[in-house]
Amino acid sequence: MAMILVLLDRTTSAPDGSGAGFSMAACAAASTVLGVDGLCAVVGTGAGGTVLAFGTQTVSAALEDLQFTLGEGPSLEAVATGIPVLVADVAVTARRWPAFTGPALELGVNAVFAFPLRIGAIDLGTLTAYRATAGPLDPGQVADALALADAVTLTVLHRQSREGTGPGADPDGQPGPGWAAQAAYRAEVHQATGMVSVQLGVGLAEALARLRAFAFGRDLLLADVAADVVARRLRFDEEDQ
Amino acid sequence: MPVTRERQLVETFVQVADTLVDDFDVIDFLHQLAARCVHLLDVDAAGIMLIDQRGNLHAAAASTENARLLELFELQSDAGPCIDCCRTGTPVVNADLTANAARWPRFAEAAQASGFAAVHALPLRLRETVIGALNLFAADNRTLTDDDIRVGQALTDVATIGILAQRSIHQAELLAAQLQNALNSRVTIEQAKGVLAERRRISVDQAFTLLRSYARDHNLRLSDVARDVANGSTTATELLHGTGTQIA
Repeated sequence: MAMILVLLDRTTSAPDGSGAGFSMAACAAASTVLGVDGLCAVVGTGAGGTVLAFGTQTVSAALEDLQFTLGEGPSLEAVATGIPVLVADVAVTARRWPAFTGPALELGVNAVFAFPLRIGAIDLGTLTAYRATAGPLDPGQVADALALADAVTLTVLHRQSREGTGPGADPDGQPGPGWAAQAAYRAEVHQATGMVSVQLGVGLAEALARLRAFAFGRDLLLADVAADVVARRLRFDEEDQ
Repeated sequence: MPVTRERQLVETFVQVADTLVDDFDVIDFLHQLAARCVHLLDVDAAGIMLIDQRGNLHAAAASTENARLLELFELQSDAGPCIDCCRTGTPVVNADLTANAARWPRFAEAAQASGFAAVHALPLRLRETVIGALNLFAADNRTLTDDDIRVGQALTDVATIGILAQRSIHQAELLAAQLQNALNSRVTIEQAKGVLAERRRISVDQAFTLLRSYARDHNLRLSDVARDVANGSTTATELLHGTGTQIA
């Protein structure tokens, strides 16, 4: 799994910044590790619609379309609850999702595993895996899927901030998604994210991206920058003007 | 005062049972449990740390939500009693910080600088899996007795049950997802503390107190309030602008 995360990291760190997204190699490798037949990330949970971030197989995309059209299913439930929704046997879910179950089975989907893409209150979408055969993920696969979801979350966040938006988003000065960094995220990083979001009048996702870009651009540790923000030694509204 | 303690224990478990049958907030629950530990075990601070899917330890709740204490939990990601406790699955008790200065150098120094003399860590276990640890700090070197340790272990078992009993989890066996959910709630609370601290020009510690008392006063779940505050949602307007709420 660590290798897949590196692949993911490398792919999206590529300077082209094209919307091509995640490497098929990373996706295929992740599918193998997770023991599933397809994998896709959907970004954007609001009325703005969904964007397919990546997919290994067309079935994955069809599965997302199906849920979006019907307004029900495991991915949507994962978004609504913020909790992974793991369906080992789609055939027994008719009561839970009356409209979804039949068409999903027709697609050949017998197991679905949906993981929310989020960091605290930052909600980006879902990572959904499917398998043609019924059966649960084993605990190691669940842990791997959670780690993959974290990595995808950071990758998407990074890409959005690069494509995005605010002043100070310097295309060359952006850090890579740095999947490994999240393990080191401390309470202060999240507190600073909240503070910077107020200082700049932006959402939490943008605030976190700006914190990371600031640290990267000055060769500082994110934790140290965050500590300065929380201690009120550093303000972003003054810094960027 | 054995009678008092027995009574406190009964009260604690009655309260815990009441919470668990109701719709509860896991971080708030762990926070209360940590506060109870301080009284029942006669220590000066307590905290609950959880392991994420990569094996990293994160602070989920503390008896006193102050930045210095949370820092002491975080310092244990490399070396400290909680990491040792989680790795071995066995309690670390009555660990004198001076005697253990070589074992956990950074942690021991920081904990002593914060006025603590001894630490303890008890594992949060679910069958053979260790999911975290209860961390206790004492300002002096009085030792935990075997009875204390039994009480402490019962409280950590209750913490484990609380994490497993979170709402909306369909797969009761899915420990990793439940742990992740608890940790993510914690992250949301930290983000909300930041938003509130900046808006109201208060410290992050004060922001936590404000969040929690607001949730209490309005009979809301701490995580829900935190989410609204973090996202600047209109439901949190009163809290964000300070109308009608007092900073405790």
